[in-house]
Amino acid sequence: MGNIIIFVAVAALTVLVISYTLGLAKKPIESAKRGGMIAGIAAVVLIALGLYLGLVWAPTERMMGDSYRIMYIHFPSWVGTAAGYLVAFIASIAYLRTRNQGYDYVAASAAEIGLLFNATGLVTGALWGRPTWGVYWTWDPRLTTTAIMAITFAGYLVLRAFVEDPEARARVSSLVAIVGFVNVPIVYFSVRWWRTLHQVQSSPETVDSPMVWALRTMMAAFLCLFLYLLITRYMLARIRGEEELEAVRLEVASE
Amino acid sequence: MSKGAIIAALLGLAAIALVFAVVPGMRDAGYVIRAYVITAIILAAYTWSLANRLDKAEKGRVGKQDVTP
Repeated sequence: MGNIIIFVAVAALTVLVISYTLGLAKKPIESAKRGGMIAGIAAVVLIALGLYLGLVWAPTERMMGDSYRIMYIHFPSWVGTAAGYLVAFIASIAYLRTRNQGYDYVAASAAEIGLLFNATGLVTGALWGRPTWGVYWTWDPRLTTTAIMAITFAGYLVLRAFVEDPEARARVSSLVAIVGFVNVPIVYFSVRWWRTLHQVQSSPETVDSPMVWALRTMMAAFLCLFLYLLITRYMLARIRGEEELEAVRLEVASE
Repeated sequence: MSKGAIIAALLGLAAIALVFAVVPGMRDAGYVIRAYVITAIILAAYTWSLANRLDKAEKGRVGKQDVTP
């Protein structure tokens, strides 16, 4: 029963985050700013609480000792990564269907924030791997697919920097984001498909309650931070995009 | 420097201070400290940079509106 409630809560939260972020494309910039401020304040409060719960309140793990506490920033980083790439994927589909430039700004912003969390996930994973496995890096399927995912979305951002025409850039990068997202479920299921070094996902029922609540708090905190960063990055993308479109219009008019 | 950037820098420093106050003495403390400090630096630096870039872009937009007849 507990697992079903958690599943429904996570599904509802995912739908809420996606619909809000996609809605940014149609919202006035002032409204987005207000949403960003609320998410930012929530992120600060939850991070402070999560750090206390994870570093002070949660007990030491029997096998790994205290190195397991890296989990409280490692796993939430993947929540931010998955949220970023999922929003980029859906916003890219929305752009291709509607040709609304706002969706392109959302997709580009989400991919950048996703890559940011992907980087923190990789760094914290390496620092957790050294005391646990004895190595910082190994070509385990989970680690390898994650690295491929990071390289794909880094390539997406590089591609955007190279294409000058705003419409061509949005069209081509949408296709790359859609193809790149295929890797996300592969990363998730890689630990089940190829049983190697990386452990499979833990069930909350087998983990001590303070550890579970510390982790959930940090996950919520990183999700709020993701929203704050996404909204801020979107506002920047929109201002720059509008300036760019204006410059293109002026150039066409002068010809 | 924008207000958002200053807040991001201060919060990053506060998180690092908390980690240094709590973690030393734990088993494998070196790895835990490095993981938290590097994450705090990456996230705070990005937030700081983003807040500054947005501030600059907003000022530029307001400036352009001011000179438009």
